[in-house]
Amino acid sequence: MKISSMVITLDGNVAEISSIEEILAEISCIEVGQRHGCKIPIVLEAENESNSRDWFHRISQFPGVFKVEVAFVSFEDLNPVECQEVESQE
Amino acid sequence: MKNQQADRRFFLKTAAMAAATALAAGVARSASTTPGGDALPVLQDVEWNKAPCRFCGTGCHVQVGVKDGKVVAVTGDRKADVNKGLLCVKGYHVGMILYGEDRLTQPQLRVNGKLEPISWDKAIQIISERIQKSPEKFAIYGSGQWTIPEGYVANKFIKAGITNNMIDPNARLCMASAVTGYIGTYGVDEPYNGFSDLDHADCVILWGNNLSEMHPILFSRYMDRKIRGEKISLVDMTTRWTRTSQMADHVLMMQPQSDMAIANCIANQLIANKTYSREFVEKYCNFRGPDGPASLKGVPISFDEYQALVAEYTPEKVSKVSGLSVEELTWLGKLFGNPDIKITSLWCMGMNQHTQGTAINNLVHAIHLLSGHWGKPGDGPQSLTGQPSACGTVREVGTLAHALPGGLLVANPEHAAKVEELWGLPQGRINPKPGYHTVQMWEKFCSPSEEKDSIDTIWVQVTNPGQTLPNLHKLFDPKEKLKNKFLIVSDVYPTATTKLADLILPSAMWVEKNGVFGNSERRTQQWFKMVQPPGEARDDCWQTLAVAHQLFLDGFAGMKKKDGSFLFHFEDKNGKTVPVWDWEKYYDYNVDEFLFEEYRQFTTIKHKNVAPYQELVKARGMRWPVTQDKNGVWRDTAYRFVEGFDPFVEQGKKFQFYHSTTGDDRAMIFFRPYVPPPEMPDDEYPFWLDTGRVLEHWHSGTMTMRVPPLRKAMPSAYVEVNNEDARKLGIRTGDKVKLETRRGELQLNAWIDGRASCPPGHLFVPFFDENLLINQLTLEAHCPISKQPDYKKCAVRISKVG
Ligand code: SF4
Repeated sequence: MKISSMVITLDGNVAEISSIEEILAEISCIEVGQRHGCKIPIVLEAENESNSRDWFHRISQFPGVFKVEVAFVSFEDLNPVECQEVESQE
Repeated sequence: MKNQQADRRFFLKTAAMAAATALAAGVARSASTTPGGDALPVLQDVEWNKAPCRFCGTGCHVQVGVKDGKVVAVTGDRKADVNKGLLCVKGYHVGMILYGEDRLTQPQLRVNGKLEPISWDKAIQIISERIQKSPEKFAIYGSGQWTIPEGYVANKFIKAGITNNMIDPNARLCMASAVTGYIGTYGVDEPYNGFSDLDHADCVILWGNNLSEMHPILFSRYMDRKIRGEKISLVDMTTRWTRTSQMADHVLMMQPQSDMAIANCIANQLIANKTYSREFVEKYCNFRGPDGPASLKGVPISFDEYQALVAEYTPEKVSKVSGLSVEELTWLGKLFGNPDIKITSLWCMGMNQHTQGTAINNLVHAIHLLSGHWGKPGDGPQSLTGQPSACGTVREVGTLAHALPGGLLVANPEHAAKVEELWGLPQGRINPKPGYHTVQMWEKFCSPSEEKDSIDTIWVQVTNPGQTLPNLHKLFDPKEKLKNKFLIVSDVYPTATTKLADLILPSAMWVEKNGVFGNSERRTQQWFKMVQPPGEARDDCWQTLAVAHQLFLDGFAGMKKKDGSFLFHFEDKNGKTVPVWDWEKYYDYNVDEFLFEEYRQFTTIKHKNVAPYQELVKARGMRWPVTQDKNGVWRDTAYRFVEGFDPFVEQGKKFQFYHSTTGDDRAMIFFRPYVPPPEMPDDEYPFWLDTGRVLEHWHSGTMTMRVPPLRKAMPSAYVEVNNEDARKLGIRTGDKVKLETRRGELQLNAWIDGRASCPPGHLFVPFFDENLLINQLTLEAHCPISKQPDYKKCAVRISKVG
């Protein structure tokens, strides 16, 4: 398990009417924090690093999301089930 | 075990949420919020310490969490003014770059074509013998990723020790034109302003700079203001549609190289419409005209002469060269003619990797000076850098073939004498003849040994020229067949360069060593070693010091000071010699601090005063000039040459360019004519080829290709093709295509209107992929003044394979 947290920034034009927290709350690996203006803190608990990056991208694509930035990343593997192979560059 | 994991998970999640919430609350208030307290995630057994991010020249600060000798977490540093606690997606992965599986862990020597492990002692001996055999044919090729102490040691090693001045960095390929632009205009290098301009500007103009992908945290600073409804606009002057264009209020799609004509057109309109700032120009500027293509300082011209020279750059005429409409050009002229707004111009590779790089840098400074959009927060021109210490290590330490630390020059006898005094050298030790610039250095390395001026041994540190030099078939590949050439590479992973290396030295990286970087806004940033490097990997700084000491023991004259002591002789506070060459004792001392404090003496000569090392330990970087106020507090400088900010500006002067090339405290407004690119599309090669970076990978991908999620997200290079061109050529996304230039060919997959899109007749290929080396096709033509090559435009043809 990889744990990270991010700050989602909503598009200023839609921030007030956005129901993004509800959409995010449906996703089991995401915990949503309290919104401050256009900014929503979230915690992401992904299976592995690739998964975590996929989520980062998917959240960036959600309607009304303007950008996602990183606040905290843990590289500790809490569930070391898989090891990613990196092929030799030679 | 399960319970322990659950606890750990709970703590991590709580800490993660606390970090993000604090930032959301803080940043929501204001982009210019003063950075907050430490507020580091509370995690058992994790020790936090500060470091700048290892990647780009923005220089975001991270807090690095270490547990059991391993980097286990990273969080944005809330105390850092640059990033205010946030990181971009590359910063997200910065902790993982240490742990790729193929880290180099042992010195290796190529014997009969095969790499064999050897000891460090043997490696040091081999380098020392190689140098002693023909010191004049030895060179160091370094980097804007060197730490300041690493670059300082290498520079002193070459300039004071080997004395052939054969040292040049990869930064020659990325920001040399910005340097010559600043020197020509202000008489001294580096931006006068900084990132806080983004908090004050009304309009940000990007001159060929994809800010949202290349400097995401800076882009964020702009966007935060935009989102809050502040009146700020973005002008993207570009040759291809990028993610930055998507967010811009105005996208000005220009023809390659036409930025020069556009800048002159703005100047022409400012004068014709009488909207230039007469007061600013009369008080603070001189005019300069061309004096041949390679003239850094130009010749004096009058305002009337300047007016006559720019007069031919009418919107109608420039529209034909640039592809911008007359309306767009007129709008730009009016924008600069409006004194009631604040304009920030930013640029990076688009203007610097340019065969007229110095000229276009001079021209953008010129229109800001002419219009008076200069010197107020948010109102001025600023170059950005791609590497974390291109400014700190290359520009300030002077690791260029013609330079000395602190902005001094080898060819200036007064400068040389000063350096000899500070380094304790005999008079005349500094060689006044500049060494080879990068392109020349590699040309000479790839030419036969018998040639008098050839270079036979190059020691590459912290960079990957086998992938990043232009025209690789000419400047790198011939090495393979040249028997007497010897390539030494210090690096952290195998690279395109190590493939041809004769000796490979494993290096420590980032928080595996002490370091100091200098970012794009004159900010010097210090960090401490936090984890051990793997295997036998060692600091680059130590590697150079160990070779220097071996040469000293072997009686090499250059490694001795005037008094016969070792060139890198330091004493601790008890007067005992610090054995900087002895790895076992290297971290018994802070060698970085000794080196930095020696280097610091040079920085006061041209008002580039860096802070004492111990002040940097406490700070999240300090922008030079750093001076001590009457209460003994060290203060940094947000704006140079501006009264009220810069302590060296005399009272009542308002603006003072105290390094002016004309000695009268004035900046130079240059006229530089539009010059077409040396190679343009024709019948044989009908497309433009542009190369560059992508969001996922940092430069040649040596680090980011080892981070599995980044590698998966962008596993290989591609060619970006315009939709209409693709239709005509029968090419679809994923098709294999062949690109050919006069220098080489390459097959790769097409991507049609992907994340970015080229206009018709243009192709774009990223350079991060060592298996698809686009630099086999690029042109080594370079700016006659800065010697920086142009990777952004050459002629190419494309055809579908099969
Ligand atoms: S913007 Fe640059 S320095 Fe900042 S986190 Fe991203 S890569 Fe690192």
